[in-house]
Amino acid sequence: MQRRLACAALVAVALACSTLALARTASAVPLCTVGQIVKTADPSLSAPSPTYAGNTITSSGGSWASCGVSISGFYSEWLRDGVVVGGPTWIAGPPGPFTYTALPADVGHKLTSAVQPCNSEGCYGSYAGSSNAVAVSAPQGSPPPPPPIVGGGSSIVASGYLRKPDGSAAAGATVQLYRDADTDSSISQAALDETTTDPSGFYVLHASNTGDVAADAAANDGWVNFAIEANAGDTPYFDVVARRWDTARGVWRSTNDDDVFADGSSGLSTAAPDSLAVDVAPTGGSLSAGDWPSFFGSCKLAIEKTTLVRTEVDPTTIGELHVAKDATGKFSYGIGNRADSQISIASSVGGWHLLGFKHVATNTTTTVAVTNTGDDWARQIRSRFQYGLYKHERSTVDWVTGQRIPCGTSYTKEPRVWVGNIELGADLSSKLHLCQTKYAQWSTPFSPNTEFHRYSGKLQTWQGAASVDLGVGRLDLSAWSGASKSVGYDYHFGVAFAVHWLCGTDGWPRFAARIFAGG
Amino acid sequence: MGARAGRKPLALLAAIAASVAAAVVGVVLARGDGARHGGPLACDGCDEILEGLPLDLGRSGTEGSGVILNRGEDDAVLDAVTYERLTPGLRILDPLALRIGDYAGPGLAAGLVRSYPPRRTRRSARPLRGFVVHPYRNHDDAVELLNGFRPIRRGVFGYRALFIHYHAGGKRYVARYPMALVVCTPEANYRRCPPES
Repeated sequence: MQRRLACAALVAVALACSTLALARTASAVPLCTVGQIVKTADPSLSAPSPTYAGNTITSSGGSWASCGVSISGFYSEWLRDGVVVGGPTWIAGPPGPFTYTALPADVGHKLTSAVQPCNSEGCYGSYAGSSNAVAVSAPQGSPPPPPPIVGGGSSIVASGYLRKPDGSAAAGATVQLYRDADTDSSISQAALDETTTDPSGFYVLHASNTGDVAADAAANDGWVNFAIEANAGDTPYFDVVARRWDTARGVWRSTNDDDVFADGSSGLSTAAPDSLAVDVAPTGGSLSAGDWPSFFGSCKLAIEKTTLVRTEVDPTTIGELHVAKDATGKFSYGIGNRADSQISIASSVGGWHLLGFKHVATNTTTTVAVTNTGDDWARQIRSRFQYGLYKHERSTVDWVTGQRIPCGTSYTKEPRVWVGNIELGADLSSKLHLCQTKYAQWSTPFSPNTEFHRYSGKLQTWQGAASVDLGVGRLDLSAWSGASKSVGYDYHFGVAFAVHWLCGTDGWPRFAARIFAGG
Repeated sequence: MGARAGRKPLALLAAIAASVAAAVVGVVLARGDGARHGGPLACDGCDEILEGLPLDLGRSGTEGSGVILNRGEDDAVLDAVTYERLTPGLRILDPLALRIGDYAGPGLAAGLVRSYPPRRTRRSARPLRGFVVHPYRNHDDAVELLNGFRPIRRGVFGYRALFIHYHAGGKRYVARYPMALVVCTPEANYRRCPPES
């Protein structure tokens, strides 16, 4: 009996050993398709807890396997509440840790990362989101996350928050509203409205459509540019917004368009009023150093004087046109008699301020357009704008001595008039034919002899794609341009290929329109 | 005879009253159905799209450029799609919905193609009515609308926009997507569509 048991045990051990050996042999045989990329673990995020603006968030990049060929690199993205705010950025080599520095704008929101690795055979089918999210908190004693956008109320021009550079509330700050007037000669004006931010840094500014404001609106198809100026501690704040007076409703609006409802009627949707939100940014510099605008002390009652110093015409990128294979494409700008309505330009440098969201137009030019001149054609498209260099001075008068008291001087460079021509910029051919690799996740197939026309409500801004050559030495900054209701893309796909693709990252289908490639 | 003659004005009045009542009820039903505009699936600030293709009589096509994201916190359930200024002569086929994460790819299933449903969607696309759109976390949660159509006579047909009817969080909504379609039938008669002016 014992012999039988021992024999059975030996057989069992032998079977187990042979099974293990078979398993090891089997694991040595590739069971994957060459080039196939497989995710073995989602990316995960690590960050200080709690996470504040200025802290670094690190994504692990995830864990990946590639069959037969090595991973050449990966695209990384950062998303705020699911919306891409950073990237996609190409990083060479297999997915590894990459970082993001939380911004004041991230306070109250959740950040995630996404990764898409690639090898010589292509890219992983989609972006892999991080397994966890990092919520960015406001520092203790600072305001709660922003409430819903306020808008549509009678005579409200703008509302929003002032936040210090660290993301905390700028409470008790003085905020003033001015008409931001383009002028060939100096004008002096008092504030249209003044308020003080609440403990959360929130403010609301109003203006009635009367006097100089009404004259401005009447001369510009209803549009008026307003300047918002503020002081918080030693920090000056400044921004410019464009608003259009809606005569029918007696409100300021940020767009030109009515909503069209299911029953065919049109009007201002109460469910989604125009956004009038403006979170005003610090200009840089300090009030104690004499930077503008200052409302301190006797300067609280100062008059602002704006003078046009000079103008210059600079080339400005207004879009891109990408056409591949036998497609034809046309990029149009300034559709109709209304030209460009919004130009957004970056931040301030050394006491100079580059301002955005201004309504500019031209009376002499209507639509300009450019069409591809051959297959596989991709170019940056540029136009020219006249920019004004303005000097802003705040001053008041000592009532006792009669002496003039300066309250800060600064300069801005702002888009003033769209000149109206169109010209070709940089050759972007290297970006063609990326529909099935870099932009694969939003590529969209079109049959032969089909048409696609897109008329943009707002020209999308994309990282580093647009620039303004400011032509004044140290102010040679990168910037973005944007346009409201004035950009069109018209594509016709030929019959030489069974399928054509639209793909990209910037807008329509959502995240999918930077590259309009007919190949 | 006199009695019958006396009834005519009464009958006319009754008919007018009935017509007015019907019109009022129609307006109330059309505007006062409790549906809100926009909502979590709203096409917020999106661009105007116009697509076109020549297509032979009886053939089917798919327009699929409409991608919806649920920006709310509750699941949204699709109820129907209606079409602004839909012209007679273009038969609308039962619309489908496709969760991007369920599609084998690459990319989206259809921009504008001459087949319905589009290739490789038969297993993953579902009828639109009752389709659940989960809150958007990543692009896998986006949903592509596949609008099928078939011309049933010769001519130029289309619609100007889509209205997506849905409910979420106990509320009903309708969201307008400014996506126009033009179909020209038959292909031999139209080199381009919309026809070149």
